[in-house]
Amino acid sequence: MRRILQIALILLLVGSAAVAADYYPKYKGKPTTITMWAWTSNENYSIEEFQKIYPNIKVVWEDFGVHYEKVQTALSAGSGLPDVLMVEYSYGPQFMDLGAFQPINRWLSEENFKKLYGEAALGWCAMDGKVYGTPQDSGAMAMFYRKDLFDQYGLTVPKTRKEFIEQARKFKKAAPHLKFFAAPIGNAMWWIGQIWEAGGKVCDYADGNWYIHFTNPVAVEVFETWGQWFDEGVLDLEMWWNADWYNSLNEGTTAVVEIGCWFAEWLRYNAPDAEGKWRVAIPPQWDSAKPHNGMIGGSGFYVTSHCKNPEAAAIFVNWLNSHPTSLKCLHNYSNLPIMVSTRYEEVIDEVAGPDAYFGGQNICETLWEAHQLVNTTFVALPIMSNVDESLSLLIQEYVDGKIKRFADILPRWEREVIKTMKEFGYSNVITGKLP
Amino acid sequence: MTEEMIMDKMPTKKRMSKKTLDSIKAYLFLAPFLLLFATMVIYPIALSAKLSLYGQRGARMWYIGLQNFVTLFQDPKFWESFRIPLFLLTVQVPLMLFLALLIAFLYEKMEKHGGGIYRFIYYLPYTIPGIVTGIVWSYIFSDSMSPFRPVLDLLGFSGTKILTRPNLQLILLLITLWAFTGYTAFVIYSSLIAIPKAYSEQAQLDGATFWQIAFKIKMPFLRDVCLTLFIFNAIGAIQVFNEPWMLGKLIVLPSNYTPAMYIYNSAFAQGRFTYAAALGLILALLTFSFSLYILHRATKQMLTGESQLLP
Amino acid sequence: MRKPILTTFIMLLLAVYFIFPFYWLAIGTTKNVSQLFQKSLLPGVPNNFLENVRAIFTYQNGLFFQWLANSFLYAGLGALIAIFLACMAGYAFRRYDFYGKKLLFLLILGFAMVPVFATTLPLFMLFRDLKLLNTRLAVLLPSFVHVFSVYLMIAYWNQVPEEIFNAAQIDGANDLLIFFKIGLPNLIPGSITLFLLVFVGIWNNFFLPLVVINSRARMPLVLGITTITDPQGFPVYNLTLTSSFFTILPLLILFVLLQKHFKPQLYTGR
Repeated sequence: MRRILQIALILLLVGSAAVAADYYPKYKGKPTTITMWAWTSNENYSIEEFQKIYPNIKVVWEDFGVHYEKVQTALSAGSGLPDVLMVEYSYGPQFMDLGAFQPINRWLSEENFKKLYGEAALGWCAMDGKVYGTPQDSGAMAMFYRKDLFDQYGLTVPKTRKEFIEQARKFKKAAPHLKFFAAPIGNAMWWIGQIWEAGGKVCDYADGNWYIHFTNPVAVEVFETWGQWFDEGVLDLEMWWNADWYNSLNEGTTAVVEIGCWFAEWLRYNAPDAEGKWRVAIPPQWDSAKPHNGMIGGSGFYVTSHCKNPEAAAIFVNWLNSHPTSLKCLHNYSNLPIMVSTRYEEVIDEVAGPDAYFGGQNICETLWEAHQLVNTTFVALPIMSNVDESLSLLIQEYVDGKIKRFADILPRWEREVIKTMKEFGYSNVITGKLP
Repeated sequence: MTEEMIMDKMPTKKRMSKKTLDSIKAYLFLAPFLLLFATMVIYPIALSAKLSLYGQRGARMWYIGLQNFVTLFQDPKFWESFRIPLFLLTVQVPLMLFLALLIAFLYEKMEKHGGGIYRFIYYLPYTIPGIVTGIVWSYIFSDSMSPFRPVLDLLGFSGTKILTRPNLQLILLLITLWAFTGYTAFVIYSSLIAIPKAYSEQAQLDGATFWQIAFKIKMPFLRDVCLTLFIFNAIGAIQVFNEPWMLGKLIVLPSNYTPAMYIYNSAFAQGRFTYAAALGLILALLTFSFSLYILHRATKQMLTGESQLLP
Repeated sequence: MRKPILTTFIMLLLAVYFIFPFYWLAIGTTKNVSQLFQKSLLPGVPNNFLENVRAIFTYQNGLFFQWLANSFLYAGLGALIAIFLACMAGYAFRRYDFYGKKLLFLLILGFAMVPVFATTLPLFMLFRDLKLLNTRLAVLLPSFVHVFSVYLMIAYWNQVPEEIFNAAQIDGANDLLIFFKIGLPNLIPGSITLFLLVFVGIWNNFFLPLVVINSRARMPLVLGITTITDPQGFPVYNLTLTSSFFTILPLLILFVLLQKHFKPQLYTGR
């Protein structure tokens, strides 16, 4: 009996090892060191675990905030990139297009990548059939709201856009000195995310061509609707991520923030005074019969073209973003929505649970649900910083009263973007339609 | 390596002319500086000139002649970037020079009443990094931290924001005045006390007031230093970067808010090295033409053996 | 002489303007973020100064001290070498009538005011080719060249009377000896002023390290403090203020101690 059990155990171990080997190949090269630039700090624990399994790969992590300028510079200079780079999904195409990354399908088949991350998510890290990296966290939109303010003014959590604006009106009437929600001045991905949430998109990439169509019916409707709300005075516009914005979240002068689900972690750290007051919900739907969601932010880890040992880097980025051990590490440290990998399901029960900051709500479940609703995908344009800047300036003009109708921003934005694409030397641009 | 050794090796008969010998010695003393000067200043400018003739995508570059300059002169963003320097040049610099002149005279008046303390305090802002100036002032003007906010609220302006694009010019004016007025006043004051006392004493006997003496008699002596200061500040104005760079973290600013920001953003945010090189050359050329007067004066002084740039 | 009351009043008013940001920065170091947002002009209650200092000093295993050391290295060594090289160059201009003297002078002075914004990008490419990017040398090497110092050094050397050189020469001293033994002592007061000028200039230089340094461990203070963020990459205002305070503290101490050597020099300082 004992022997049989031992054999069974051995068989079991061999079997699981075989499965694991499929996803996480052995590193056959010489001992090596790979460098990584990332602005989150939760990778440290994963790195520790990784080095236990792959003692021949040493990972050195470097953080100096959002590093796109450094990346762009190193790229133009032709050297200076680290081996592994954290990049937001919306900036992925820009760097893929400029040749910042190298394909890693050699070390793991595209099939396996798809199994590990799902086709849609992998699309953020791949182009023209080449996989350049692995996706980590989700940027699925979620609605963060102040439960205390909702209770105080008798608001209900809106499920649809119609309910959303009704609650906003009610709130504004009762508390004109407070803000229900302030949409960002600029932040292209947030606005594109809004359109995405409504089931639309403004740009894409297919068969070697860039498609730009900002003035499509879905986008126009989204902008017109938001414009009406701004004109009505129930919603505000503000520059995000600066001291004033930060303050309004801490002090509780804003009732709602709709943003990527990684924001949960930001709140916890930056608005400690508001502990227990925030809750999370699925963003209000445009059409509750066909639920959709969009994303803002979320990042992948890519292997750069300057990397001398792509094998080690490929093994690392894949292990980092899909191995349950790593997923658990990433969660335990910061509770970011590391939920893109399909193997997240293996750890969700372990990592999800009541969250004291959110008044005991199990936010992981809500965010996971929000992430599941991201059911379409597209490729962002390769000039995102310019797309972002021109939108910021246009919305600012609207705020300053130089643009009268909010929806008039769209065609002007589109014109700027097309002009910039041309200026940057892209001849493969198709306008006025999407693939 | 020393001159002595070189001289020893020379047969006395063939001893070279004094000028040749002096030249060798001079260049030996100059060598370390010249070597670094050539690699760190001249070479980069030459490389800039070369780069500006190339087109670029990512790390790939190809020759395109003067195309970058054609694009640049047709680029509205390039011209727009001079709005802030022009504002500083026409408003801030004259205002500051005027203020600094007054302050310099006041320093003189306060000579026996602790004037040194004021000189010290006013000069302080000039010594701290532009980035810290930017951080502190941008926080002071940000609506959530500004100590002016409660005052404005009390006066009934609770709806108006402080840090807005239209207000930004005024804010920049306040910051630059703060940072450079004390320094400017100090420089003017140094020239002021160098003016021979005899002139003002005579006028004083004739019954002229302090301010009459200041403006009628002393002003002409200060013309040169004011002109030099004006030029240096003009050069500073076209290079302004740190303060708007920090303010840009709190308010929406275009990437071409100032020429220096446009160069930085073109090169390092958008990776357009060759275009940025062309921009940099134009800026260098502008700076150079601004400084011609100073160069002219400095050369004259050196050749006549005059020792100080300051009168 | 009677005390000029009106003048004193105006001077005091201006002093408030010039002192105010320093005061605000100083009280800012005593506040946490919530207290900063209360906009008070008094120090934070409870006083969070020690908290902030601890947070800064222990930030990422004492990264702040590395920045401080880097700043001292860049500014100290940079200024020392820049001034020594300028001093030698100035000596050449003072003592010798050499070929190309006027041309060289024009060339050096002509490039004195080249904006850093024009040279930094090509320097970046040069350092890339020399494999010096992201090394301390990439900040140091350009700092060694301070063109304006050469001009001032010529002026300082011109103030040394001709007789001193002549006397030394008659005694049989060679040129190197004259430079070190006879010349240098005369230049010390001027050199201290110049050293402070260049030191402060490098200490405050933000743009060059911004471009050529990638590793936080090699950043100088002015750059380092702008990278202080929370674990998700967003700024932490009280810590930025506290570290700003410690960035200018060495300068203020230097300024107070060596007050008499701080003489204004006409020189673009932005």
